[in-house]
Amino acid sequence: MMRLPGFPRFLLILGLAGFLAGPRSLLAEEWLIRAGKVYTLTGAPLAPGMVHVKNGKIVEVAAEIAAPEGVKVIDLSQGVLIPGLVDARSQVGIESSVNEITQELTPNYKVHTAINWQSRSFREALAEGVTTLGLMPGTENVISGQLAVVKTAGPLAQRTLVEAGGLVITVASDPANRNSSRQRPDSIYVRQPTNRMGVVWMLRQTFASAQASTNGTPSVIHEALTGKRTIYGVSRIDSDILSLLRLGKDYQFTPVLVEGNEAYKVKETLASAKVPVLLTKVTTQAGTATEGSEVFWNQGGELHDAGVTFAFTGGHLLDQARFAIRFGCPKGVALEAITKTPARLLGVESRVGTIAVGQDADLLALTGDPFELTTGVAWVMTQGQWHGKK
Amino acid sequence: MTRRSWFWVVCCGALTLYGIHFNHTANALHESAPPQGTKPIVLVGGTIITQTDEGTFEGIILIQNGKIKEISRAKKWTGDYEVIDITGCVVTPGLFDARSVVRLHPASAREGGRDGTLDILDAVDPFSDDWSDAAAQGITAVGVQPAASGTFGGLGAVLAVSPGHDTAEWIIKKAAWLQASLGVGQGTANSLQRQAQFQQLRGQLDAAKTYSTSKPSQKDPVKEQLVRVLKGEIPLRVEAHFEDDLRRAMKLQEDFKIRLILEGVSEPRLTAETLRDRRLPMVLGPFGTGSIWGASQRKKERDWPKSLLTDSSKWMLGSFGERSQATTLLRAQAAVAVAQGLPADQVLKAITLYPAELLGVADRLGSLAPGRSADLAVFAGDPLDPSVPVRLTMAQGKITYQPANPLAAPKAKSSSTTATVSLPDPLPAKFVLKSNRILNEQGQFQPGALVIENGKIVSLTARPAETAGYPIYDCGDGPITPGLFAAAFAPNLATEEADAHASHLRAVDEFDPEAEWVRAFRKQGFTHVVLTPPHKQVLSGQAGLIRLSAAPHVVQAALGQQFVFTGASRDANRFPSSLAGQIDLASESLLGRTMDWQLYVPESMRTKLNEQQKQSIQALLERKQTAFWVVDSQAESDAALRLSRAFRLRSLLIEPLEIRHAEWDAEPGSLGVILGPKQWLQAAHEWRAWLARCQWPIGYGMGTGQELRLMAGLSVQMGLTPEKALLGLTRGPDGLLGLPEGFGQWRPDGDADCVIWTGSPLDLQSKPQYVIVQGRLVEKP
Repeated sequence: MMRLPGFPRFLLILGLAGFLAGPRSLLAEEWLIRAGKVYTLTGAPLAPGMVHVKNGKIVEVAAEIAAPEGVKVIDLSQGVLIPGLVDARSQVGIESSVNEITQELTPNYKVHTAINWQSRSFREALAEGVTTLGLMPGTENVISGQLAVVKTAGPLAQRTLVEAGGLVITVASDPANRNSSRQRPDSIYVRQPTNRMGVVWMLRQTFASAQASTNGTPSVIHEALTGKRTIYGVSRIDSDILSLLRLGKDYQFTPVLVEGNEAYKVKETLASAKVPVLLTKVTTQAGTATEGSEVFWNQGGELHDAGVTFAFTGGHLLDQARFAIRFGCPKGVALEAITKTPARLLGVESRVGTIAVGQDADLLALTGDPFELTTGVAWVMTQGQWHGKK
Repeated sequence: MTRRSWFWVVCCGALTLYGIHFNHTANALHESAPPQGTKPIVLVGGTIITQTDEGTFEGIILIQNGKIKEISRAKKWTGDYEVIDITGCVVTPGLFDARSVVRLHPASAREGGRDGTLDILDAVDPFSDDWSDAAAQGITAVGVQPAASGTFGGLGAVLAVSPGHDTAEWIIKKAAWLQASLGVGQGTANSLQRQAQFQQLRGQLDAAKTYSTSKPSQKDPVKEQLVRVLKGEIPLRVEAHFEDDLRRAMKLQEDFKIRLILEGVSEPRLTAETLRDRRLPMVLGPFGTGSIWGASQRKKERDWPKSLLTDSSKWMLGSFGERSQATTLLRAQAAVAVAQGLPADQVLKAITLYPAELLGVADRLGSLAPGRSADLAVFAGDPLDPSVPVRLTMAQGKITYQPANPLAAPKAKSSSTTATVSLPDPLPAKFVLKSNRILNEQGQFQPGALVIENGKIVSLTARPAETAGYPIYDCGDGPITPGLFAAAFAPNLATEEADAHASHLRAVDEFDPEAEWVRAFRKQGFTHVVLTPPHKQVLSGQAGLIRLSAAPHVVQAALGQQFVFTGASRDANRFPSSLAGQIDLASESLLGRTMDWQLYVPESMRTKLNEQQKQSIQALLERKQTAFWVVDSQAESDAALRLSRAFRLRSLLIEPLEIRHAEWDAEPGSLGVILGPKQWLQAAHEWRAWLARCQWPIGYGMGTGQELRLMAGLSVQMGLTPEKALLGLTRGPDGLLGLPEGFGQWRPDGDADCVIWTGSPLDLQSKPQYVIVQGRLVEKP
């Protein structure tokens, strides 16, 4: 990838930020919402509970709030209010390819530049109750690039939480698949890596050279290794997960494991290394998933019992939580795994993920108990903007 | 059990998504079909072209229960009617595309058969909404049939272009004809194969004849249809193009006494005379050349189809669409037919009366008379001029199109008068061109005269008398404009594909003045083209201004740099292969980064090329040159707009397909748009919305001369002022291209470049009579 002097890049970012800030103003609507039950995720649920929203933020949460003058009151009656859902790993709205496949190492690849903000998939995610998305590049590169954290709705100027955040790396066979068909290096275009060992070797080499060159402009890799950016490592089978942990140990970083289909097999190791997991959606079609990983339906319960932090990702979050509960995951943990935990793992817990004073007014109103299959979405709110049927 | 419950969860999710989708579709339908009462309607004040013995007159039309109740010259009526005032407009029978794929499922539109078993009604998609774009162009009925793939395909039908998911509501006539073809499709390369195909077709007709005379124990549905053809109950529509196939088709008609309709007939050669003398009914098309017509083109002789027709021939015009969008250009095809020399009244009949008669639905469609179905279209002027807006379309008594805010009332007289003048060749050194319609700098036509001396303009004056002694050529009502101008055009040039950064290349270096496309542009009155590089690279090189008809051809070698954000410049074999990568490369280049050259470029060369690249970028940053952005989707145009703003560039978006949501508060003089045929073909429904919103300077580009004139006409139809469209055609996006001072205008001592037209350049029916470049004739009749 290209290297840039820091100053012009800073100017560019300023310019972009100026554009995004735009002329559109905040929707300054004030709401008071009453619900049969409010899961705040900061303590025991309030039943009943009320939430006061002003200027796009939550300003008060209590069992009973007197309605200030001129405020719009929404009474959910027996309905339930939970924080807007957070899907920490998604590729919604990324135009063209999610992989820059022409190079193995693309640490400067930012998905944020290629987002189609009008994409229909944002509206679909919103309809499911998701208000915040972690948009990650794909898995076909050894180092894929930087993730973005965005809202599913709202004025364009307010939709970006993190423009270029953590670094996504792959410790799996994906980056090798494209190249492994080649027999021998007979052309200058021959690509590496061609197998799993090659993937890990390429990561080691990159990390080592980044650590060696501490002078000059700090690279993205260097920032990641010094804890300024989180490293999100995609691995599925147990041996790859262990490779990722070994890399973390060798280069002193604590990754967030992504996908982690076989995390349950190495749960103690994950717990002792304090590595959290962004779980991919469990498949029910066959006993094995991507890369032949063995599927286990009580991942959530097992990981929780072992003391591993995890979140569900990849769409249908409410359904994923309900499914996990059915096979042994505690209800509270499952709810955290689609709100508070993913917000924390994306580093945006100060903005979203709980219903607390000062948080963005991102709320999901449900028609009843969140864990019941028959419960539906009543409406969604992002930063005080109400999305529902008129 | 648990697996099953999970299955239901997934199903519920899918249903929810489907529900969202369905609601969107339903809303879209609701918007495009205006609500209507059951009250009878009266249309008042229009000029009615009845296509009956009653002729054309000004009067009223009373419509009740989906039928025409009364048409009269008297301007009075009794009873409670909803009045629609169409003063100054022209009413015709609803337009009829004799060969269309509207309402067909896209996957079925190209499917055909060889044994006559198919019925096109089995390929219609009840949920398609492509009818609304066609209705917006005044079209009320279409003929659809299986695609031609040799011998008998199957049954064709006439469909109404109207809303509804119930097919019964919009099938006007099923099994209206039997479709067949000779010499079309695979395995017809040589005459022996074509002969065999004919024998097969003939054999099937013979078998059907035997079948009809014997008493078969079991009914054969395919033969039953062939028997109907043999009895003359329905016509046989045979697509054929070559001389031998056309002869064979006529032989079938002689031998079996069937009602034959020929279709296509693109290379008749010697048979043309016979066809003309026999006045065989034909479906002809597509007229016009280029991609916008959405139909595959066959080679045609210059005198096609005049050589096939007499004034009393009955023929139908078909769009020959391979996608339903082609039908929306039926009027434009008709206009091209007029420009090719066919009489306008015959062409109008070929899209109204004749298809109704020849396809057996004349009792309901094709003419306006009491008792006929209320199928009509109201135009704010000449129906065959594609720049004239449609005011109202009614199919089967239902209003299928009525704009909420119709454009300003048309001028009293339609401008489609044809004016001719005759100029001597060579022209004298000093002369005066006089016309009642000379284009002024505001884009309006006004009377005046051009005084020309030794290839230069002396003056543009209202009083040519001052120049006594010079020969004066009076063009009458024939408009005179500066030469037309394509603001971007990328012919298929050879390109270096190795690297994504090629900002040192210049498009003008590949210009060939003898190329076919150059001639086609000149024939349409174009004198200048901005040549842009092909789209294989992200930074694909420099655009330059070319003069088409006189040397030196290169006027300005470097107008600006082209950036390509579409899929065309993504390549898995080199960086970048994704939009984010393209944006990255563009922004880093603007920040001063040059190419990493491959090993095979020598060091001295690298330095030189990098220097050129730096200069090119520097010229952009200093706003001496223009950034051309090739973009399709919303995210691509957003990225272009973002970079253009961050680096304060002077920018042109080329053929963007989605900019409806673009948030752009550009400073004046920093953004323009090039409109091109791809936009009509792929995103026609976006047009009206964003043309109304578009305050930016525009130009026309990325198509043939004919397509660009059509685009200009269509943008006027969609709400752009004719002034802006004419300026876009002659000067391009003003001030954004850094063109020479006074480009596209007549200035004293400037080049004497002008075009004398038979009518307005925005009307595709008119054509250039003479093109004068530097005082010399370069195109003449």
